[in-house]
Amino acid sequence: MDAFYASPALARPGEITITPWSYQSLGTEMYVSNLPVTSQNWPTANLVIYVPFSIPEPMMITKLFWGNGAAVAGNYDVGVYDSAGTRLVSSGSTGQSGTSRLQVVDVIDTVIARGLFYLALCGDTAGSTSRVLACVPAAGIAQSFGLLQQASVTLPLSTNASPATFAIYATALIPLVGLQGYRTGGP
Amino acid sequence: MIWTPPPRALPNPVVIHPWSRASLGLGVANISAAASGTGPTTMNLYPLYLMEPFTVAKAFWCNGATVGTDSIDLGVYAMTDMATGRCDLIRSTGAVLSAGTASVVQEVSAWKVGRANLTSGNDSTDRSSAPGYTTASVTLKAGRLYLLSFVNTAADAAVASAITGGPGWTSRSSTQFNTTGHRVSIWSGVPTVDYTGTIDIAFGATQTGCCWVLDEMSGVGTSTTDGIVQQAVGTGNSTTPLATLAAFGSANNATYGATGVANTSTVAPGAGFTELAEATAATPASRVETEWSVANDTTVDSTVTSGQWGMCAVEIKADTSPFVIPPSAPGVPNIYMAFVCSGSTATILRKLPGAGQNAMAGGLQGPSGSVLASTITPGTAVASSLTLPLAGFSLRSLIG
Repeated sequence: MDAFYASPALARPGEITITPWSYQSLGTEMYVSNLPVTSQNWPTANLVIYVPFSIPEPMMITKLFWGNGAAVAGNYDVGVYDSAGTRLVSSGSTGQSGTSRLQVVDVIDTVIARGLFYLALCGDTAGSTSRVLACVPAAGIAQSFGLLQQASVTLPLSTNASPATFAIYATALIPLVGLQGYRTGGP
Repeated sequence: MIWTPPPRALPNPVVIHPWSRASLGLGVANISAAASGTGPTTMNLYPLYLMEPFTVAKAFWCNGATVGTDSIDLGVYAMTDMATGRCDLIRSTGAVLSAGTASVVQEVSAWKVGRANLTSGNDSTDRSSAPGYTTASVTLKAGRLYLLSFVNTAADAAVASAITGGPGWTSRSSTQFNTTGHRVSIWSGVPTVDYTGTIDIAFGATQTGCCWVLDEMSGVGTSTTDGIVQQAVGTGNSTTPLATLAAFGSANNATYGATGVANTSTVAPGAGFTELAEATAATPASRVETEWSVANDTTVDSTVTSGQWGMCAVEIKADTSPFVIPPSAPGVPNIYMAFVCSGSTATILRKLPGAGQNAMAGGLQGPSGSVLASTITPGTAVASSLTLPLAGFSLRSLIG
């Protein structure tokens, strides 16, 4: 085995999967807020929801996912943006498939540096036919957590939200959306 | 050339508040659900754990079901003495009226001047210099504005010849009143290093008495004339002392006034002003009162028992540099976010931990007051139920 020097880790390593419930995203706030995850209607067609997260070191994104609720229909696009609104990677418009489970999309391996980023999720179908796993905080809470949004984005993100045009969050919903990094196996 | 390992810690969250991992976070989990309710009317302090500087674009709070009537002040303190708990205000929003839409974020991006009274006193002894009139021992912090206001008496009440102790002091506003028998003055000083000791007011000729007030201002742009933008004086014989300032240079600048009277009766601050302190000397009868407004107020006034008065007023320049919350000192988590509400009509979105739970997580309770003072020494709040507001600071301007 080759000998090598690695400086000691002085902080918690980066998480393999990052969702709004992760420590690197809104995990602490979500836990403090006592917000359960349930099946919810996608609130507005063509609305992009941006959830902030940060990473302590460079990581390679290998997969993106979101949580489907009790009914599926239409298409979703999931992506990652930097804090300036530049799209870094996305799944492309993908038909929603499989109820009450994660829907995972293998994406082009993309390395992002230490910093602040946003998970993005957009669905093109509102109402009870297209449901996602999400929590529904009281009005003002998600806005206070730093979520952002963009209305009227016809899929895909790579065409119509690149770069993103961030707006104040005015939606009472935080979806289960996430990424996987470092490894290619799972979920 | 040396090699420095890259930072490994998680970057700052985009928004920090008492619920976040950069503050109390999990220490106050498993408590009541968030709900609209009144804010704290005593200063509540919450530790911030930052690895890197946090440049604030906006301060914010989430309004509850009722907006209006009361004001909210949100700021950041550094605990500069871990033994006594002394905290010095870094920046604050000042008192901002609750407004806008219920259950929506209200934002602020203007940083105001904070203030506190440090000491006051009097001496009816005939003195000139060596020593002159000497204050109690005080601690002055580098970079802050200190205003020493005093009334001295003599047949021809003189301008102080020198003030010694701490920073270099400069006369900013002064006027004789009661013909020539009394004089009220405001002097300013900005220390370049911390100072603890007395301050001596000396005169070139014998004065028959002096009473003084020393006030501290934080969040001041002190680079020019210690942050004193303009001054005005007034004299008269009535119940309504007044000095009229010109239009202010910025809506963020503050107003400060010193009333001098030739009697010992209490002085009431003018409308919109908060009194900082009063001091009185019995022989000859004289009194000085200082007052302050976080806002622009060209009409600097007070109310007194009818008699001779003199009034000095100054405009204080708010610091326009970026508001940067420093990371905790190495090994010393010493940075605190502070929040206070002026009354119990306006509501905010907040949680109410059980008694002692906030203190258990590191929260502190400061003094009561409608605005954050420039210097406080908070106590613990073991028995109190502190409020946990959804309020804090954002790295980006897009929040509310």
